[in-house]
Amino acid sequence: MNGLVAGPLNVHIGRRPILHDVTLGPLARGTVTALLGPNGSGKSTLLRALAGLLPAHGPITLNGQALSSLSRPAHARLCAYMPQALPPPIRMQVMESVLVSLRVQGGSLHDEAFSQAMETLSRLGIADMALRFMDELSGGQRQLVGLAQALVRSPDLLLLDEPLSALDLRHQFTVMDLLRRETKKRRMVSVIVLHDLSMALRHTDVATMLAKGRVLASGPVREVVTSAILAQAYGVQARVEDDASGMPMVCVDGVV
Amino acid sequence: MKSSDVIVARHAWTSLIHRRLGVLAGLTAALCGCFLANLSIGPVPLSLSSLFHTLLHGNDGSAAATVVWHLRLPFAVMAILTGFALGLAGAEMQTILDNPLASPFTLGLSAAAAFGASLAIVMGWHLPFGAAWGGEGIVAVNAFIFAIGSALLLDLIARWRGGTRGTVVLFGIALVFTFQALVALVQFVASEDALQDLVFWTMGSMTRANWPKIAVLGGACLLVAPWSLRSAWSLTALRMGEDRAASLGVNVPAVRLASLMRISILAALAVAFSGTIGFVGLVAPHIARRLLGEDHRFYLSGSAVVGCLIMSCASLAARGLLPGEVLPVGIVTALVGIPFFLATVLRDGRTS
Repeated sequence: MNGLVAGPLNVHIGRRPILHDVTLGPLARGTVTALLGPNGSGKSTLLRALAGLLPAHGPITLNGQALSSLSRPAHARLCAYMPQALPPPIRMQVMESVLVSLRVQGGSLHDEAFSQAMETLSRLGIADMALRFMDELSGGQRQLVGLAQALVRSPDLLLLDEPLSALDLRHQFTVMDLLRRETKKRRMVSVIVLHDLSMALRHTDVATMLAKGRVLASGPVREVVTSAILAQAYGVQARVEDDASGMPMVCVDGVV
Repeated sequence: MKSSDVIVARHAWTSLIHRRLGVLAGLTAALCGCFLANLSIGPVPLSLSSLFHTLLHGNDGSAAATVVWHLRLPFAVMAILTGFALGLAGAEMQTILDNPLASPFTLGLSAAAAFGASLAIVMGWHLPFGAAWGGEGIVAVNAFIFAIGSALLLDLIARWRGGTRGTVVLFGIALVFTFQALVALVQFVASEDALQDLVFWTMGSMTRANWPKIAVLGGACLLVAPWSLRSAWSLTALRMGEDRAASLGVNVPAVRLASLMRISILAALAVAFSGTIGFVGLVAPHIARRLLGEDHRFYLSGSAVVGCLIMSCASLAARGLLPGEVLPVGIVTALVGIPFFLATVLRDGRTS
């Protein structure tokens, strides 16, 4: 079985149940999945559970392998996770931080590591920042470095928690475009938490809508982002329309 | 991607590493100079040539040899070892608690150790086989037990609250005040003789150094330093955030627990033998970070060497400030440390 299959998953934080019988997938390799839902619906928790950072009750399999049975390092070799918080502004070079991400699993810093790191940085358009320090960069620039740290490891499963939150319009677009291309090329399974529904419609293949810790809808993104489901999930009156160039977009008219 | 870019990046990286090695070498050279100054300057001044002669020929019973081997060398070596232990412990603590205010002194490890020591002094406890150590064996052991206990308590709080660092720091500060109050209480009920011993603890001093103590602390440093450096990459990753490090395959709770064990061993032994010495564990990591960056291979070793250098300078100043008097070194580190620390903080505040 190729791709990611998860669930039914139940996750508690402390005594508080966060996710109830959440199922995800099967998500095929080479597809980008959007994880959508209002604040507090459990998106980040689901992502952290998939990354093995929270104990989840329920099976998670990636390409036929049960992830929960793996040790932390073995899990980390298959799966890269980018948390919602931006990388901190510390006295570390951009290049260095990407190399740490490659090196922490062991091995030496050979030429290949340098070319991998530089290639990833240049794909994200920040090769010129390679020798600058993280505490000199803006929030958005650090978010791009965080993405580089995740992408450079060429994982099978890429989990990104709001990767666009600090980016300007141009970078939002180029990052989503890059993620889609890389996901296809490297046959990854990418799961991305997004708030921008139009972005999800245009740049992802499938979507899962969460609300109050349960799955509300799951499937091709056009079938998940609909007026009926948006009304149910967010409590808003919204239309999904095609703009002049035929691209779908979400217009919110008011609250329900 | 042009291959020339990779070559440029690789080259920049190599030169960065070389620069850091150079800084480390410079610090070590300064330390050697300070160490020699410690040995030669004093009421009986020794020229460098007679100093080397004495060091190379062992204790031959001459007056100079007695001064060097019985007084100056143990003090100087103990100062360096204490600085090493506090510098390394402070550096690790600031990383695992992700807080620039963390140090064995500010989070209660030193205070707990001092309380353990003062209990042992005032109660007059003795080790059954500790005749060779006088009463000081049990003092060190007790200081150690209390330091480990408070470190484990800090770790417990960190886990229980789900790792919020703010709570850990506040809890540490509460520990400082608790143990300081308890030490004051013990002082209040102590006899006159015991009180004099106790004052030693609260000021910190090298004057009780002897070779067995040096062997124990030196052995601990030799044991802990490689252990620390082995987790340098994990600790570097931890600086980028706990979740990020965990997703890179770092077993964060295990790394943190191992680090706390090292911190308590180093801090407890340093405090047990030299008393509470503040600011070295707090300032040394800041200086090391500024000079050497966040790569923990360099940051950890740098902080240890800077700790040695500060303590070595302080012990020199402790003998030089008042002629004929040896000030407790803890007073000197605080007096020198505070302005230095404020300067660092204010400069950081301006740049950010």
